[in-house]
Amino acid sequence: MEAIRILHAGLFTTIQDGGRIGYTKLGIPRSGFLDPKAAGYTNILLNKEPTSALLEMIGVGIKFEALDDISFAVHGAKGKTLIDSKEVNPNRCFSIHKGCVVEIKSFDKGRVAYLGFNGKLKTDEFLNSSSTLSTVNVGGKKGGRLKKHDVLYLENIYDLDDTQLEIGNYALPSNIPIVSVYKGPEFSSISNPNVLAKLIKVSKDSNRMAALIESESIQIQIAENFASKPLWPGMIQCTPSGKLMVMLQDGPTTGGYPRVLFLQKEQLCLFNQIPAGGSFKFKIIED
Amino acid sequence: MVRLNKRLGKYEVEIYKMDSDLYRLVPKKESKNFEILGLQLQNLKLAQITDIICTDTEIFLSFSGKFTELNEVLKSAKQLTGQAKSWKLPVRFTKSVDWQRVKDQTGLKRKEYIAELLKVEFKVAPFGFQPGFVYLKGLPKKLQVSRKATPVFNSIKNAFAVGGPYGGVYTYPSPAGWNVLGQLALPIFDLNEDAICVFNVGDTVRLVKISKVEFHSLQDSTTTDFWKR
Repeated sequence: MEAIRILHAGLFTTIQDGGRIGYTKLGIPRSGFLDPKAAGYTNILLNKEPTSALLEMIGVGIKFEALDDISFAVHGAKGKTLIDSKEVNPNRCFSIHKGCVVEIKSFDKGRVAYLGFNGKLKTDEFLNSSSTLSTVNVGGKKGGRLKKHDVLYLENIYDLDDTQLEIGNYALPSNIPIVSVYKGPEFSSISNPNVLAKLIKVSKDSNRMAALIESESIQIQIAENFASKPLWPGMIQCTPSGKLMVMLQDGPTTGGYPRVLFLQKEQLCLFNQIPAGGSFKFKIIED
Repeated sequence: MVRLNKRLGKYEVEIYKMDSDLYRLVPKKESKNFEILGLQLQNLKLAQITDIICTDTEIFLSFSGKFTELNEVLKSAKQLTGQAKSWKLPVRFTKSVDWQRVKDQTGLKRKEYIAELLKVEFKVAPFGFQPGFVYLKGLPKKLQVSRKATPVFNSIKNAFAVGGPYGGVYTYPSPAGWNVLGQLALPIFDLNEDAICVFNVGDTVRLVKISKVEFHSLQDSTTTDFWKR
């Protein structure tokens, strides 16, 4: 069934799910939710499996028109949510009628939010996953981000009682969050590690492959014959020019720069909710 | 990071726990045995191993079981030997602008460079970087051309390129820092149905020069049939 038409597509809205498991050996990243915790709550509101496919919105929400009677839920980063211009608190799911217009404004707090519906999103599945990997144009909707006028379809629609479940606000990072981080395998390549404890920023040039960090320049020694090493979401590389890059869900599976820090899953969720341009502090966990 | 045991089956490795289900494996000594461990882990098809990334010097293992069990499985697994295959890769050399870089850096003209390139026996290195990209080790020093300072968009599918000490194949168009010299008649990656690469790590590869006519006739044959020959 035709479910919604996109009126405003936001900045980088893609379809994601729990990820494409089992293909990193071929250089295919897992992709999937930038914040699996927030996505999991959204799916709970929809009475679905936590890894079911959802729309992932970064920085700003979308505006859509319902093309049939549907239910939806939105959770994660917080932006004003309007149903036919009336503001609602999105801590539950909502049933709306055909023709209804929903608008999720830019986020006041957090960076990533999820939107889902009472049915299975029809996607261009690739290797058992709906996750969009825009670098090679696969998964999601035609392998890329959603665009104005796109129509999304639902299958296996089920009834959802929108008063049944209510959850609290999602725990989003405070103004200057402290992100706990482990030392990476090549931590000792840094000769001025005290820089890492200072206030730093997430660059606006970040995407689903990597987040760049703005900090005082880091002095790094890279062996001339440094071989490519495995990477994983949360691994932080340092470039020869002293810039930190946090590898994210769509990032490469190997890389040739020293891996100086590592964010475990939980902390990566928190990190990915820091808005572009937002400040934070690392707290290095001593082994 | 927590360090676990130092042995895995017959292999001497240090195992570091990175996260609840992510482990980093480092060989105790440089040995070609480590490459075999990677292949062996990939071949096990254990449900507890959900992902594996191999490089020459390290392995990442996404694993949700007990290492004692993995140890037992590895001990009883058949030793992998003599599995490497040799491939002939049909390449049409294109009239790329990158030939000027080849000439500037190696002093060889297009024809001379191709003749030398056809003599090279490459070895398939562990996959990585981006989907569909394959590293081929073994490019001799006299044929090495540096990577570009700024990548240039390569619009050719199945492009053969050289960069530093490697040859490589870009299955998909993407920004490329390497020097694109030709095009394979058939993809070595099939991402359409079941992600497969016709090569395995450790296989050997030689290039075979083909003409435009041969290129087009090869393109008509189905990929799987061709590689099965």
